[in-house]
Amino acid sequence: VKGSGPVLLVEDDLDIAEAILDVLMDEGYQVAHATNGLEALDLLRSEPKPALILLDLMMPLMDGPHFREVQLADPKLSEIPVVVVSADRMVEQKAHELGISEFVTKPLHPQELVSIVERTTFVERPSLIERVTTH
Amino acid sequence: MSARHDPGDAMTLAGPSLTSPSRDSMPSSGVMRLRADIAADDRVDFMENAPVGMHWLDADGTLLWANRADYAPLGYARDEYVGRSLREFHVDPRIVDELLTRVRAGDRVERLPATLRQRDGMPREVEITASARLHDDGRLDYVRCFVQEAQERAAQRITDDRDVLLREEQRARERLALLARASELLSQSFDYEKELAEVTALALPLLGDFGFLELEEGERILRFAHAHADDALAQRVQALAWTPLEHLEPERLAIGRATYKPRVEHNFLQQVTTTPEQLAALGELNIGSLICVPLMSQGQALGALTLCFSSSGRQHTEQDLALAAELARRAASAVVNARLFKEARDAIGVRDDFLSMAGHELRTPLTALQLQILSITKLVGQPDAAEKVAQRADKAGRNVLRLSALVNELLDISRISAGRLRLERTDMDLGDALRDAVQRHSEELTRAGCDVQLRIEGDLHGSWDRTRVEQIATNLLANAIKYGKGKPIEISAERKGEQVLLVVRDHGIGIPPEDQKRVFQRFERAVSARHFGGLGLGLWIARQLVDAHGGTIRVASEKDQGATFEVELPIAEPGEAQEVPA
Repeated sequence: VKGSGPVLLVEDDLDIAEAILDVLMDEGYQVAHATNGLEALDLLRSEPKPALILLDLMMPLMDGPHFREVQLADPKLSEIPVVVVSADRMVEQKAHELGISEFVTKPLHPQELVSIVERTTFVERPSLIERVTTH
Repeated sequence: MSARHDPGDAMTLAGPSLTSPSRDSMPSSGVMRLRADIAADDRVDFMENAPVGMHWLDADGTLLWANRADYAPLGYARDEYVGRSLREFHVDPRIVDELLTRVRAGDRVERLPATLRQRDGMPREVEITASARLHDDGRLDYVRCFVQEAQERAAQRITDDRDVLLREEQRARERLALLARASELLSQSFDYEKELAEVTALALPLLGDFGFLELEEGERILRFAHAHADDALAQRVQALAWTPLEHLEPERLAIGRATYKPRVEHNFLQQVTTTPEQLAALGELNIGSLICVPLMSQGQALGALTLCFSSSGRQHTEQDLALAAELARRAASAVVNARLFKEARDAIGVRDDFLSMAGHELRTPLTALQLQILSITKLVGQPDAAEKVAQRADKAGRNVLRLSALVNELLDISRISAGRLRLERTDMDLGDALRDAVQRHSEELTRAGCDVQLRIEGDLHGSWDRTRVEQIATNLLANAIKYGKGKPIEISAERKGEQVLLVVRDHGIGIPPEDQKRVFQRFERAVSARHFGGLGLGLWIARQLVDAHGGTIRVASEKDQGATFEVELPIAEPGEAQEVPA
């Protein structure tokens, strides 16, 4: 298992979630999945803290921006890095408005997804050298 | 001094005969020869139409003949005038005796002031110029009189007439300026509410002391009231619980007729009000004169412009009515233009929303597909990856199906919109179609946590287009899954006479009554697109397909109580093969 903790994917579309899960698990990441912001908050409060949150913007019940608002208001959660994953053409601007600098645009390339996850979880991941040498 | 001219044949033609004067003394001059050339009836006509009053009197003061300029201003016909004593027409009859005495003495009377009495009793100030014709023995034969309106009066009348003309011209200028300003205002933007309020204000004080324009906007009636230099009155009018659109002969307004009441009386107010409160409120406005003109568009009243005079005591004229009607026409045309513009803009907005939503919907399976394919590429060649590859290929296949369903949906929309949908009817069993549809959705149903209860009763054969009927079933089922996740779905079908009745019931979020009409419309769904996938056109397509089969579709639902869709399909084709209207 890579990284300092699991990656939490917050995505309402089951097909996309499944595909992202497959890609990241192929890379050796542990991934938890929530289909909306509310489910994500439940997971964050009951499970070990993830190293990274991959956040969709448009979701039912609690969307990405709303989730981000709650996350930032909670000191236990506010430090967790977030990457926006969205099909929105304004994703860069929207991510910026949420105080998030990392984003990937759908449709997404698996390598792009993997490298952004690596980059974002890099500092806390001690096994980087080991992983590089195995390839 | 005596006149020796011969009045000629005029006498015999146009009035009581005069004693014919002696012709012996007539000079034989050029003038006389010319006179003979002029037809007798033309001479009569000439005098009859002279612009100055002319009459002959006999020695008693009886009118022997008079021309139109003499009797007409008094309001009499010739028959009522000629043959009577001139004294009857003078306020002071003694003036006639004075006149006769003077001319008998050989005097010529120049511009003798006199007052005549008109038929309506009003005095007419005149000046009389008279001369006598005497017999050879010196007796008075007859008197010739010219009657002119008194000069001062005439001058005064000219001044008055000029003032009236100037005032009219001034008003005409104001009317034109008003119309020009109104047109300018109404063409400024498509914000017609603001413009209508301004136009109402503009019509004052020329057309009223206060006024209000009313406009039907959906179920509501908007009112824009204004009062000239009286904001408190404007507020009272704005709050008035009485509306011409409902109370003031609405059937007149509806067909484009104006109400024109230059004298508003109490019984008029009684007629147009339905409650004592309304009557009291209207009465307090002290309306003396009222105009109400409809704002018409294509034979329909969109609203009405009402203009009232109260404190000024003025009365509306027919010109005011014409101006108000023209103002209403221009206002109506501005409203129609603005509404058309807004409709077009909204339609474009709806289409843009749809396109952006469709783009998002297409991108979702594409995203999953791209990830799956690339991860398969990566797995290929790795040891023990065969099973994983097969799983991924399976998932990728599902996303291809999802994409192709979306594309088909888009194609159906364009086909139906263009009227190119044709049914290929065959004998088929609706029961089979329903079982197939449930079977095809079994995985999706499992994922959504929906149990399906399918109840099919009796013979459900009919002449339908198999693909399209399956599509109706699929769309209704997909809708039930989408909005009723985790809850059971009941599907039933049964024969009802010459129809089959198909019912699909979910227990999901339901559709509030106000949204139930919309769900069958194109580019509409009752809930935000953000939370539910699909193009939101499944129900619209289902309705088009049901319509094409000559059937009906309806929905019964309450918010949070699930939704029940009922489709009735005639088992036989009604009439000839048909196309679906767009």
